[in-house]
Amino acid sequence: MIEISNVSIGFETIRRRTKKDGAANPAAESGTGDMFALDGVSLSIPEGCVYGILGSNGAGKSTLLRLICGVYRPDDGSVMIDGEKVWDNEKAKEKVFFVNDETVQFTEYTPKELANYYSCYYEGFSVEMFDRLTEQLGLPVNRRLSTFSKGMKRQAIVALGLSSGTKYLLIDEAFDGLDPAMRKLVKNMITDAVLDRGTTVLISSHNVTEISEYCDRAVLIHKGKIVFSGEIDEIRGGLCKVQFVRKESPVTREEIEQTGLEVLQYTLLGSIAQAILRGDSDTVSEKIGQVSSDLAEQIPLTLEEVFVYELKARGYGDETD
Amino acid sequence: MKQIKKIHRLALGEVRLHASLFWLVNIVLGIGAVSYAVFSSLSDRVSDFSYALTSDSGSAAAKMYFVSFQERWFEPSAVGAAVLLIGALIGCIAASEVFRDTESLPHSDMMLSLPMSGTARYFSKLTALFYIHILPVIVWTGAACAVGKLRCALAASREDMVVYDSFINGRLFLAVLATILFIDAITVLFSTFCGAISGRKGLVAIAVIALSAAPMIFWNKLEFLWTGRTAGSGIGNAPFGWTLAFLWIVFDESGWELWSDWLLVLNCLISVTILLLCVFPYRRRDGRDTGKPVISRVFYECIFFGCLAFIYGASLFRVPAYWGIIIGLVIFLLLHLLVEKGQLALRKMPRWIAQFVIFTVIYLLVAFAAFKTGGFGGVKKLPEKPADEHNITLLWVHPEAYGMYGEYMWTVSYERSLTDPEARTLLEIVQKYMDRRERTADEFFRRLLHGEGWVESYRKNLKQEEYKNSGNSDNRQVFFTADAGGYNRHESSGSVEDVYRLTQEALLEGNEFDVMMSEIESALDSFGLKSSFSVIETIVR
Repeated sequence: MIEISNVSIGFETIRRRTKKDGAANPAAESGTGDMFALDGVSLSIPEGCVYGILGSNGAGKSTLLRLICGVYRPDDGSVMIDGEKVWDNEKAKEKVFFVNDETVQFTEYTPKELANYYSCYYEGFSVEMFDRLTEQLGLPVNRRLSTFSKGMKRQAIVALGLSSGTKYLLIDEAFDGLDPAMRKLVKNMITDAVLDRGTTVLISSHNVTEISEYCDRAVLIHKGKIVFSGEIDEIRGGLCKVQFVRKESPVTREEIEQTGLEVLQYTLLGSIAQAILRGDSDTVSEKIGQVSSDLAEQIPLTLEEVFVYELKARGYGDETD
Repeated sequence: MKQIKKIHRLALGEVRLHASLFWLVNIVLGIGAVSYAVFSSLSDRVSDFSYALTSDSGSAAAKMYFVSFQERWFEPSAVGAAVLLIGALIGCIAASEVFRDTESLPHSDMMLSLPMSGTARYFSKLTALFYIHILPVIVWTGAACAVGKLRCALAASREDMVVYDSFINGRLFLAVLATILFIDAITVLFSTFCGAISGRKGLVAIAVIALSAAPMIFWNKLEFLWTGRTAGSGIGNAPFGWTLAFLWIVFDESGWELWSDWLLVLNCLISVTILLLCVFPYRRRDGRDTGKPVISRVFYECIFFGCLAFIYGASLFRVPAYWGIIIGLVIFLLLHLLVEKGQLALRKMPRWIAQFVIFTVIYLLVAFAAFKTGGFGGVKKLPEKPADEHNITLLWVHPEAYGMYGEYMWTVSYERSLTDPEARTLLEIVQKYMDRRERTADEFFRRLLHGEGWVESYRKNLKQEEYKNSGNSDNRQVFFTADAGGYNRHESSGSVEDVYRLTQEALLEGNEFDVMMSEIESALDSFGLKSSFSVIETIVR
């Protein structure tokens, strides 16, 4: 299990200040406008699941992954893997393989050279599996990665990660650059690893639809803080979209709020009022009954809609409306 | 033990990753080693020793004779040595490649996420660097020098004769090793401390050259030139990391002798120590430090100051001061721009200029203090004891002759060995006259403002043009006898005459020299050696 407890991490001036002060500044934003990349984040990632990390641009998704694999040292809090601190800990890091969103560091080498390299580090590295995966993907193992397309590079690195035999596989911008066919193939490979070896896979992506389809659980990060985390269905159930129809005059926002429900968004189209409400389906059903209307209907939300509405509620992307 | 094995295994993985660089280094070094072994030669050389003797009465009459004899010399292949050097320097790329994780985020993601501690990672990288770069240099240069040494030994045993200069083989090996270790140490130091700056290889190169050469130049200036002693007396001939000296000893025969093996070994040890100590800054780094310094800004300022000291060391008191200062300012600003990633931060410019002024003032204050105090008292120190029993070298700089860089060396031979007290007495006499230099602020600033040009105006008899027209002025030998009345020239040829005339005029006008030589003669007389005095060799540079 990966346990992240009250982790804060900052860059540049924030980092210097927290070091100097001896403790992290709890405020997400400092007087100079600098941001904590992550601010007091706590998260538990259970074993054997596919965990999606969602977030706006610059939210802290990659920072979270780098903390988990020991690239970054937290300024405050701790990151533990199976009860071991990760930073500078060989034992904990043996269980993690990190595929970052860049491939430039590998371009001078062939997949075979990289396989040899990683086999020095990971005792569980399976050359057979690497050969099988590269064959399945149709990757030439003796050609430099610089001659590969972007998608092929990603495939090669994911194949290396899967062959390393680690308990946790971290993939930043997982399916970036892959065509739909390859996307499916890579997903199947990852699924096999989860099913066969119980590998826990952490995937960060902007593609909410993909995460909702592929992951068991997810976390949404915004401005270095967790907005929500949990099982996908739970998350989806946290918000409800309701359409109200009233012939004489449309249902107003105030009327809905009077029921005690939090309205994240309210739109009006003729006599039809649409509201995004926080709460599970049962609670919302109970409370919207108090609003006088000809029709009040709940419409299921996609994870993408949850993502958008949650971020909008925090003022993100308003300017694009 | 398990950890060491693991580090070794990981290092081999790193070597495999940089296999192309490994092979390139080995191929170039191999070509260099073969060239050195094949093209180095044993040759016969005729040496002429000319003795000019005074009569024991001290009259001007003199006898001259020449002794010529043949010797076997080892002639190292300069081309082979140069190719070895090129191979060694190519390998220096290895240091920045192996430690690339300090400057590139994708690389640091890759490296820092691997299952190993920071310490183990550092030492595995260091081991990889040893395999990719240091070991090939040791093997190939060692083999080349061993062949050279073997050839000398075989020739000596077969022909029952001494082969001169065979020591060059061992010295070449040590010099190459010291050079590459120094460059590796500096590169790793920059990588671990500065992160991004290591990526600017130009800055590393500038810093390596400047920082390595600056101590030597500074040392010379403070300790020798300003105090009237030459740099050739064996003190600090191989200060740490004087990398350029390697180039010099490859291409300049006389350079070989200025190094000593133990100093080269010391150089290697200092570099190795730096390489080992860099583990501390390295393991402090996390991914956020990638491409950024983990050290105070003062470190950069020290580098800048080192570069400035190098420029000043090479230019001030040679050329008029404004040249050195202008060049220094331009380089100083360029270095700042490099560190600022090429952004012309105009608002920072006044601060940089202020720093430059402060550095310059500090440098000049130290220089003046050295000038005023005779190299911080260094002039009071006795030169080294005679190198062997039969010869003693008296070192003397006559600043009025060819400016600060005029350099004369007299080699005095005797019928019998001088005892230590006798040698010391002679040296004390020389010392006394060295210390008679007037050290006023006027003189300091005159030298500073005019550089060598000052000599021309100050010394009416020594025209720079005349000096230049005298042909090849390097290592020109003139022989003359000394007696109570002064000097008489006995042998010179061709354009040497011009040089000698100028030299003599300068010397006589100085007059100081005559007084000193009279005193030396009296001392020799008291030792019962006057009748055998002397050989005088003048080296004009």
